[in-house]
Amino acid sequence: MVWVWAIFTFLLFYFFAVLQTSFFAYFNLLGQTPNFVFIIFFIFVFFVKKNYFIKTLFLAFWAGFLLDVFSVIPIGVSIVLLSILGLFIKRIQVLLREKESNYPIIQFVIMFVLAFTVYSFVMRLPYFFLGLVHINFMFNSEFLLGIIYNLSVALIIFCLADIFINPKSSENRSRFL
Amino acid sequence: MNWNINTLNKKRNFLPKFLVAVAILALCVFLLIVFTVPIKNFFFNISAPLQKGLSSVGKNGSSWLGSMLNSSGIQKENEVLKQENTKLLAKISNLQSIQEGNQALSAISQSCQENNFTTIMAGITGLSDRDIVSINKGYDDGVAENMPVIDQNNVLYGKIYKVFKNFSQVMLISNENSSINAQVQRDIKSEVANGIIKGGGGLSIYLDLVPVGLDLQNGEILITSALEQTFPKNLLIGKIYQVDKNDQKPFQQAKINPFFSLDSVENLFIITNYKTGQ
Repeated sequence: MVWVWAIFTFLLFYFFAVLQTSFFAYFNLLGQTPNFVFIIFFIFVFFVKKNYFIKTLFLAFWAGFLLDVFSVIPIGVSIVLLSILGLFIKRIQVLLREKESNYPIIQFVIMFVLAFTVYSFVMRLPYFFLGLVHINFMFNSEFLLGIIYNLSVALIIFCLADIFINPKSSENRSRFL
Repeated sequence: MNWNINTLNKKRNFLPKFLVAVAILALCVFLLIVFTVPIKNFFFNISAPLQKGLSSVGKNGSSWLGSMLNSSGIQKENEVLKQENTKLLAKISNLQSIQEGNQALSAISQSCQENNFTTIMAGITGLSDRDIVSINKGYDDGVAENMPVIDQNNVLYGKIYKVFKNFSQVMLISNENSSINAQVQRDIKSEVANGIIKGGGGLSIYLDLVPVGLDLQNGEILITSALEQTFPKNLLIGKIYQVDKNDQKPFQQAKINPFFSLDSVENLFIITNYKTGQ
């Protein structure tokens, strides 16, 4: 069963990695495209319940691996960063959680924005060392647009995932939506 | 008290698990870094057909969406294009007389430009962030780093950034670290205006370091200059659409509409034998 889950997550990440570097590259807003692999990774981590430590590391490995394969940076950078981010997200979530089945959307939005900002900022460093970006370009209007674009896509997937994973929690959802 | 002991036990059990997981992860990352090139090449080979198919679907989808969103602006744009066309026709008649005089000279320079360069045609397979494009030709096909990349209309796209066995990554001129010597395309009698085209990220470029004393006009076309080391001269770059001039600054900037368009191009051409100063 674990292997089925591992293969399924890999194929899912692979499909979205290919999709974001081909199909969605043409749907950019001022050069900003949705980072589907990061969004799917974040949602998986957000919803994972049992054995979250191992599962988060596993998800970070697949997601980071595919993000690096389809970019110019050496493979491994995103794996390390997503592992740290994933475990950090999970730790905060455990501290904040009141009930086991409660995933409020406000918590999701705040954590997604923070995680995406940290990810985008740290991922500029390897590109900076490769001579492909300037650090001072970080917090501009394009970056804010990128956050809004990615957050919008993440929210749609979050709502779909929430309905799929917690069909009985519609009462809780309506409180936050 | 019991709760404290349980927590302590949990922490004790977790620590070795954590260390083993981190050690395995570190080992995997190390191996991946060592084998980065063959892994990337393998994934490119298996993904290229799918990426190409999805790219063309994306291209069609985005152009359809764009036309739907801009349907009200099309009429306006048509009017502007008609006016521009009339102006261009007038310019052509002027240029024809100049052309006769310069025909011999331009024939020589054109043949130098066209015949001395050998190119390799490559298909675009994917676009990653930071203005990097993947193409389906690698060092097996004779591609090397820093080779200029253009399209069939002599529009400059960028240069080869990284080469793998069967594919390469092209750094577009819109990459934040890209800078190119450029000049405004003008007739010989007019004042020469040189500047630097810099990448602004997100497929945008701008003109910088043009002395404030020089006059720039909206609609003027920018080409690569003879001072450029990486690219041949006279490659098309873009059109000025907004000049940012401040007399208190020594240099002026201008916003540029780049001629390169990933939505409309299928294949790119790599110039394989360009040498600096040619």
